[in-house]
Amino acid sequence: MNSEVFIELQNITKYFPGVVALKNMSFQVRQGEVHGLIGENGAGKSTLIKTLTGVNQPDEGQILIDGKPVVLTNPNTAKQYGIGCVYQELNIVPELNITDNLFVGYYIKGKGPLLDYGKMHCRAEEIMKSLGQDIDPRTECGKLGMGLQQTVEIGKSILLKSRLIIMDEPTSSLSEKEVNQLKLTVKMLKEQGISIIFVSHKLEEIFQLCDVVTVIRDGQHVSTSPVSEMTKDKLIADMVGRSLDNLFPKQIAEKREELLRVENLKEPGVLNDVSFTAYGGQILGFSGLVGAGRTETLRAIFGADPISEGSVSIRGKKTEIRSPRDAIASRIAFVTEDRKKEGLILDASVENNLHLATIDRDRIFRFFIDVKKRTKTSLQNVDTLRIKTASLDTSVGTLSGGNQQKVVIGKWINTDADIFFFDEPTRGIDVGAKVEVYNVMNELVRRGKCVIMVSSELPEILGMSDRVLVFRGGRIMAEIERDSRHFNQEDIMKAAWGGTLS
Amino acid sequence: MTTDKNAIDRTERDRKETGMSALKMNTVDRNQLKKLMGKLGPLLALVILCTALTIGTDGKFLALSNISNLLRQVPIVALMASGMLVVILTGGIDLSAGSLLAISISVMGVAMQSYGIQNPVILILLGLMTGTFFGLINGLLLTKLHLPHPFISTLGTKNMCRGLALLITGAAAIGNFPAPVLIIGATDFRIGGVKIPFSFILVFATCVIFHIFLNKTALGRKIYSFGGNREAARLAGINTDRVQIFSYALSGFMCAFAGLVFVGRMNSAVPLASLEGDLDAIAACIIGGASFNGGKGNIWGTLVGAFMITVIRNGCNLLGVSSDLQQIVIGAVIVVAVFIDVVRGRLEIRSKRLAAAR
Repeated sequence: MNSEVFIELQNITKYFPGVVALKNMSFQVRQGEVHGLIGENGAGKSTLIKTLTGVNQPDEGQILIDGKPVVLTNPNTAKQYGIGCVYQELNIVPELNITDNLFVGYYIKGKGPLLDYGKMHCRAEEIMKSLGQDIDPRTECGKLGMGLQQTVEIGKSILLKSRLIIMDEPTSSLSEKEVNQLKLTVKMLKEQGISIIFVSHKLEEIFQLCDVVTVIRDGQHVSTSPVSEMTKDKLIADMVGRSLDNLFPKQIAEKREELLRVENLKEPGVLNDVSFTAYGGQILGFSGLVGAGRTETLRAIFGADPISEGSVSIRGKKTEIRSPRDAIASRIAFVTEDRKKEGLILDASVENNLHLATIDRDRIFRFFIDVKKRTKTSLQNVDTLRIKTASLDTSVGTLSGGNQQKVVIGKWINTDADIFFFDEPTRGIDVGAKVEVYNVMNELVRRGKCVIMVSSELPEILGMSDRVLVFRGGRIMAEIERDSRHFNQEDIMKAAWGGTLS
Repeated sequence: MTTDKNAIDRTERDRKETGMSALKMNTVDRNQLKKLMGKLGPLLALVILCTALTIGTDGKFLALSNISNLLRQVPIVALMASGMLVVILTGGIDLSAGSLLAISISVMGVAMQSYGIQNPVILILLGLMTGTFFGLINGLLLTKLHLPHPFISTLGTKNMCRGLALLITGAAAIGNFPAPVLIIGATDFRIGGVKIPFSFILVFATCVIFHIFLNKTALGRKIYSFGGNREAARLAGINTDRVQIFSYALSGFMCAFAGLVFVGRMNSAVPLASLEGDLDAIAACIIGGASFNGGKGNIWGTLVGAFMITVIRNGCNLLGVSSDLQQIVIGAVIVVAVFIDVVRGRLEIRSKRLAAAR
């Protein structure tokens, strides 16, 4: 196990505006080891990765490769030293085939100015095979699943003879089957003597895949130990200084009157006769696989997408909702899944983002914004939601994921809605911020509001929901109350995969 | 036990970091200063340019007559650019601006000549309504017909309006407007030795109104929000179609307004007026720091941009530079201005990092 150290960081420090992203960080990766790297968001994982790949240069400290000090001035130097990286967002051109994607920038030339495609296809096939995928390299990448596209991305590192491949949350967008395939691929790479840094938010994966795990917090190294000597509780304690029990601070509130009734929602190919009711004082969980119609249902109710059939009643009254504007007027709020695309104006200030959904409400002299009220509300939001920001004028894009999410939530809380949709509210945010989001939901139901939460994390569904609807193929497969005997991971999964509950 | 204590410490620390006092202090010094610097960038460039021209022309540039001349040339560009800015803030573009100016004044001319309308108020209103109407068409084409990009819809109206202007006027200039119509473009106030055109005072007033409109009104904020992220704006309940339609209609109105200045200065409605007005207006916005991606830009920068273009033209004339060369210079200035903006953005990020390191 104690093979040679491939790369070592010594006392790396890196400053960013207003924060120390890495503080005296030391870290080493041995040859052929799978090294887990975990920490809350904002703990410094991304900065650490960017330091290793030459995207960022450290302000202090040095990097050693094979014991010799090196300077990684840019991503190309890092590649030359054998460091490859598979980012969360893949750099795949969907219109091009596997070979073109693999060889982009490193084409093999034949005689004359033309490319030697014969050789490249051959090599591409070889690489994909060595990663456990027997596939025609002439296949267009857009036709491949996420898992295969990711394999192509890993293949790029193989092509450049990388000795270390960094995988940044590689499983976050993969299906269960694809995750299993990735695990096999990781093992194959390990057998070839390639080191892997495996960044993940899922502890199970760390335990299944990694030899060693390093925990970082607030830009500092907390612990490095073999996974065999680690426990889940210990890992979480290292990450947050908080024990697992507090992860879901569920408080049961009193169930109140029906706030939302949806009947026979239909849209060909998307929604297949969805009906349900939601009550004040309850968190209704939407479970199911990605693409099962959960988000689509919420978007349809909210007027963001058209529906061909179906009706929505709010507080027992049939209501026609044609646009998000109508939905907000009916006191519905929608904390959307994708913060960057649908939730925030990244260049705009924290204050303007918090104000976004209430621009029309708080006015003076009909046309003018009530600036005093806006500032007061924003300061309140920052205080109660504990948004970490330098000022209200800071552009929201510079905040960490968790704080960005809190801004989105603040924006909707300001609308004073009765019905709150939370779509994957804790995706990509750190454990501390998660708990705070859960507490916001608790507070909302305590005040008699209705909360609908879409989540792909089963523990979260079980931890926070009073009732769960399980979706599959645009249909509701099961409705499970919190006190039902079906209220467990196995039964929900079964329903999500199309099974029936007895 | 220790973990619990850590949790409490964290909470305590978070509270401190987000405390009110820290918020206020930061808001005042750093950010305000940085914003001011960002706004002053184009102005600084303008001052340098003016100084260089003063030296280059042996002070002819600063002669009172030349200053009056400049102030008379700025308004048409500036008024069109202010409307253009609103469109650019939504992430759009209005290629039809010059043609909208032409059709507005042509309609005024035809109304007077062929229909015998002599009432100046009616003529002025007719011009403003024509510009607004075709601006509205631009907005409707974009939002209701779902044309893929404002480039298409405004390119269409650009050609149609220019053709229409030539058609209704028989491709000839129409003169002899009643005197009150010319007031906006032709009146000068004499302050000291400088003749200040009434139209320039109107430009300044327009900028003040636009500043308040864009920053203090709900619609103004919606325009910025829409330009910054249209999907987020839509999901936040903003009527995005209405925001866009309004922006194009406002641009049309401002073109007609600029047309009134044109008529006053020329004492005639020329169907081929402002052939490159739209491009000058776009250039003024961009030089003034507006972003083509939308959501970024302000009216004062645009005013400086309008000055910049006018000063370059004026300076070239004083230096005896031919009009072909003038175009090359203006083209280069646009590229350089945007490049400086890009560099400034990078420097800002670096200075932030250095500040944090200290």
